[in-house]
Amino acid sequence: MDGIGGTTYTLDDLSDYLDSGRLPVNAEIEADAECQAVLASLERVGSLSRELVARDADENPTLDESWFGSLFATIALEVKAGKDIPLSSSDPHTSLSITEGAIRELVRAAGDSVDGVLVGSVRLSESVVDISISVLLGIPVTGAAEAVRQAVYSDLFKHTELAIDSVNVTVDDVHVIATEGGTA
Amino acid sequence: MSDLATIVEEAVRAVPGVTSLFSVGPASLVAVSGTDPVRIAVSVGVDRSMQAPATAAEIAAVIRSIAPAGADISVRISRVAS
Repeated sequence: MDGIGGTTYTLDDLSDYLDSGRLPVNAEIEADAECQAVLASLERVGSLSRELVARDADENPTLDESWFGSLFATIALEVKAGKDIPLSSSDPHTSLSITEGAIRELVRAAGDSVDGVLVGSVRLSESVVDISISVLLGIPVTGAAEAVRQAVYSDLFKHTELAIDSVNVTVDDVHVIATEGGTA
Repeated sequence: MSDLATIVEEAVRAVPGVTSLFSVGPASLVAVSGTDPVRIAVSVGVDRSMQAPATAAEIAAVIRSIAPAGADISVRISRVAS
């Protein structure tokens, strides 16, 4: 895999860096927006993964590493800066913009902020946002999806000038809480 | 880095809501000719508690206040995070 952002560091490198407590400080990583976004996602997902295990935990008592591996690979792709989305400016000699990567990270963070929800993927098109999520077993799925939708709308309205027609939330996985004796 | 870039960097970092300054450029800030318009481009991260468009506009205004007249200014929000 190519380096993330403008660096030569891979997802594994960033994971190791996070595991080391971000010490010693790596100035190149700390100065790169895409690396920062990946680290933030890894931290957030890492925190959640200590509570959540895949639903097929009876067959695989430990965390499903391939599931998380796939998730991290998706995150690494999503944080790529992509196109600059213009923000309005009254001065013809001033251009303001926000990157697609920043918006995708914003959407993912908004979804992850909902209790019991872990965002799987985020896709942006002209005026449509598609999000896939996993929901903790026992949490009403429709309520969780609606909470994600509202959180995403709110953050997009606050931080972008996109005219969003729809935020589509798909629940494509369910998780259970890990306990010392197995799963609950 | 040119003096102007240094001044811009310090000014942008002081704008409320700016959490990261990923780049200030281009390097040609050092070597603009008398007839070329100065172009200043910054890439920043902003705090999620602020509004990104308003913060971007404030950054541009701060740069405008210290940049040479007629400068082209580009502010790019690369992250919005807590």
